[in-house]
Amino acid sequence: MEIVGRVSKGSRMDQVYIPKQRSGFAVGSYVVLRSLVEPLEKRSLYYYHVNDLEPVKVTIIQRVMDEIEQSSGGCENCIVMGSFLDKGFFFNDVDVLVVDGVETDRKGIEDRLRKSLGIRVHLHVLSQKKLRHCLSVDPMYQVMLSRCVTRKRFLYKVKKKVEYKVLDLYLLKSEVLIENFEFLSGNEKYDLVRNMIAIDLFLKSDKVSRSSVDKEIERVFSVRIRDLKKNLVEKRSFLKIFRKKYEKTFNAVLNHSKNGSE
Amino acid sequence: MVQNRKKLIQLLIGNLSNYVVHAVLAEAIEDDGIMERYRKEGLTSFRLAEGYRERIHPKREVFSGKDVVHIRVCVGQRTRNELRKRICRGYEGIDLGLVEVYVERALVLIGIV
Repeated sequence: MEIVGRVSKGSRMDQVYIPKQRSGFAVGSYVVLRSLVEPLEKRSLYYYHVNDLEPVKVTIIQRVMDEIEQSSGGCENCIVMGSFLDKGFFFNDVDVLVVDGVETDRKGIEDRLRKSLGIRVHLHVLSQKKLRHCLSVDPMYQVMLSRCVTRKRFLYKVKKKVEYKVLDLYLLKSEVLIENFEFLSGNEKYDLVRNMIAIDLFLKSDKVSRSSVDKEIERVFSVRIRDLKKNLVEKRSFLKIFRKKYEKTFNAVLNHSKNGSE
Repeated sequence: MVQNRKKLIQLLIGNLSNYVVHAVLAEAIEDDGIMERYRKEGLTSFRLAEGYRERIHPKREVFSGKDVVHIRVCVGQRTRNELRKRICRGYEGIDLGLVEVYVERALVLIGIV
C-alpha cells in the first residue's frame, strides 16, 4: 500500500498526516518515508554494452549524475564510461562525460564528489558538436563510448574522418611501451597496446568498440587480456610483435598525409 | 642503483624526447580540443622521465656538466630525428626551430639545469 502525503511543520516535530480511513498502516507499525521530488523517469539509466554492473556502482552513478545535474544548471546528457564499468573494483576514478553542461564548475563538482563519495571523479565537458567531432576523428572516444551508462538515450552516427595529425599524436603515446616495458604495470601496458590497436582498427573499419579492440589484441599478440593486465607477458616475443605492429600503424597513419586527408 | 645509471639516463633521454616531440607536434595542430589532449599525453612521458630523474639522483643532486651536455644533445638529436621522419612523409606545419626551446624548457622543468 502506498500513500502520498506532505510533510507539515509542527511546533516541536514535523509530521506527515495520513487519512484515518485506510486499509493498512496500522497505528504503531513502522513505515519508510521517501522523497517524491525526483520523478522516476528521470532517474532511469541507459546501459550500452554493460551487461553486469554491481548495485553499489549503480547507486554511485546515480549520485554522481544527480550532483552534476544540480551543479551544472542542467546538461544535455551525462555519460559514465571507462574502467569503473568493468567487473570488480579495480578502477582508479570514475570518468564522466558531461554533454552541453551550461555552467559546469568542473573542479568544484569533482571536489564535492570526492568528499561525499570518497572516490575520484574525472569530468570531461564537451558540447554536442565537439563530441560528434571527437567521435569522428578519435578512435579512443569510440572505444570509451562503446561501453557506457547514460542518463538519457545516447545514439550517434558519425562519419569517420582520418586526420593524420591527430592519429599520429595518439599513436605517439604507445611508443612509450617499447623503451619502458620493464617499468610499466600490466594495466599501463594494456592501455598503450589498446591505444595502438584502436588506431589500427579505426584506419581499417568505420567503428571501433572496446570488444573489437580486445579481440584484436588477443589475436595479434596471442595473449589473453587478463594476462596482459596482470603483467604476465613474455617481453621479447611481445615487443617483437609490438614493434612490427607499431611501425605498420605509423606508416598507415602517415600515408594519409600524402593523400591530403586532413 | 649506480650500475643502472647509464641505462636510467638512456630512459630519461627517451622519455624527454617523446615529451618534446609531443610539444612540437602540438604546435602544428590548430584545434584547441585536440591540443588539450595532446598536452595530457605528453605528460605521461614527462611523468616517466621524472621517475627516472629521481632514480638517478634521489636527493635532487645537481647533474655534472658532462651529463647535462650529453642529455641535452641526445634529446635534441632524437627529437629532430623523430620530427624529420614525419616531415619526409609529408607532415605539414612542423617547426624544427622549436626543438631547442622545448628541450631547454624540459631540462629546467625536470631539474637537470
